[in-house]
Amino acid sequence: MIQVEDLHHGFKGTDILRGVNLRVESAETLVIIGRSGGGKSQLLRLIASLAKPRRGRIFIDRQDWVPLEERTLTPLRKKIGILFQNAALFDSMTVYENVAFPLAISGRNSKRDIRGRVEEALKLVSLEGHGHKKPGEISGGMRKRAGLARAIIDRPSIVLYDEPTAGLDPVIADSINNLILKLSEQFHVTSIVVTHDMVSAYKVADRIGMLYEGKILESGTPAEIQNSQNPVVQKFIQGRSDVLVDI
Amino acid sequence: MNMLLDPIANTAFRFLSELGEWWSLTLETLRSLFTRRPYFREIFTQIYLIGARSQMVVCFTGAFIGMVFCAQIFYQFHKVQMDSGTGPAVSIALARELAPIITGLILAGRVGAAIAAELGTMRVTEQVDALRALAVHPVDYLVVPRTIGLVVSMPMLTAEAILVGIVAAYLVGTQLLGIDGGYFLNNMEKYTKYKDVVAGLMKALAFAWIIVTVSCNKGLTCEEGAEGVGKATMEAVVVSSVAILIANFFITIIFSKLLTP
Repeated sequence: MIQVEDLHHGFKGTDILRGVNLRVESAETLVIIGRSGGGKSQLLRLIASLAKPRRGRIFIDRQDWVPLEERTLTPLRKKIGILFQNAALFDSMTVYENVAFPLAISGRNSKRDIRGRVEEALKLVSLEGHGHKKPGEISGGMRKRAGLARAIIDRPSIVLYDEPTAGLDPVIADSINNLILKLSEQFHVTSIVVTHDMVSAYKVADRIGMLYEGKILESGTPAEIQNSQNPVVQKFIQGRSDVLVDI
Repeated sequence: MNMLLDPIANTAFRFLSELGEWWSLTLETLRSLFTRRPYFREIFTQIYLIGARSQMVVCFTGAFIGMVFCAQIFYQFHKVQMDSGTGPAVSIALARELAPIITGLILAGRVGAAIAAELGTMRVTEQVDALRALAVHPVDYLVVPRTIGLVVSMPMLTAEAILVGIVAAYLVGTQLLGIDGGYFLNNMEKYTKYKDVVAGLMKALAFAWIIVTVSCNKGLTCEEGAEGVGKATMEAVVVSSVAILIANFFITIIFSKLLTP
């Protein structure tokens, strides 16, 4: 369970997040939508405790992570898997080594066990046969899938996805959506997905929350969001702009 | 008044804040060194990358420093017919000052720059955050192996530079400048003490610590983008080099009090 209370965060004196409140139940998938630069990725970083908020509290399984020090947080982060927007693969390692990293570093798994699980994870994201390549030798979409395999290989109870389908073709994007659903249904993973992709949002979400001007403006099931009377929400989900461009 | 004081206050604030960051990384590294399980594979990789891969440049530089220093000393000593004093002068200077300083400056450029650039790139591409997200402390995985790598390699490289420098000086002195080989070696052995070599190797240890902590700190705190990585790399080399020269002066003074009977 994830609970965020009155979260404020920003840069150089300007708050991007101005009092975010949200709650994600166990095995639930919350999709956060909102305009670029609105602080969605920052919100994920704060939930993963990769940054400290200026104000507010973040409860992961009823424990407030905000006051905890880095050394205390380090082992706790095993609960969370993160798919970064640009995958953030270690460029000195191969795809295989990247995916194996969470298992290898813990020192608890045999080489045989690691090999089996890495091959399974690579198959899950359609990357079989690419394990020997370096991140620089594969496409952006493949890097993202490798990042996803790395995020989920140690079976975290919470997964945070930052733009999981951005830059992927519709078929691969749909396979990623199916994977998010599968993780939620079969392994009861609690998920927060940040995306602009409304097709993906409607498919994977149990609830959708719209982040607007630093707060969750509206939250509800995909059907509720689609039928929202709020003009800001409607404009976003329909992709309408008021700005006219003369050509 | 403000126009004059503001830049000074800003510079002082920046200096103190960087000093604080460096100090807290130093403490965290020490804490990790003695309390955390080491990543042996990373440590051996760093010893190879830092130590083994730096040998050629250190030996090459040590040889030429030994040769040129031998020639300069010989030309001065020859004026007062003290040719046989060339050997000990070269070996003591190499052991106490030249080898540790030259090795330190070379490694600040070669290894310090590489560390700052690598960690800086990892930071701006979120690889350091990915490490943290995978429940690995960056100091344990990135800083400690590099620290051990440099602290183990630097004294060995310095010893190598001393040895190669002396051999090169001997060859130049005996084959080119006509110094008697027996006198050269006898006097060198007579006047070069164990403590001279110890002083040089202790300096090498201190310089290794300076290079690795400064470079890791610059890399891990670098600003966004390619410009940030470039700036961090440049600053790592400059700050390490200047710090080595300053530390050398104080270590020399302290050792002269401690090691002189």
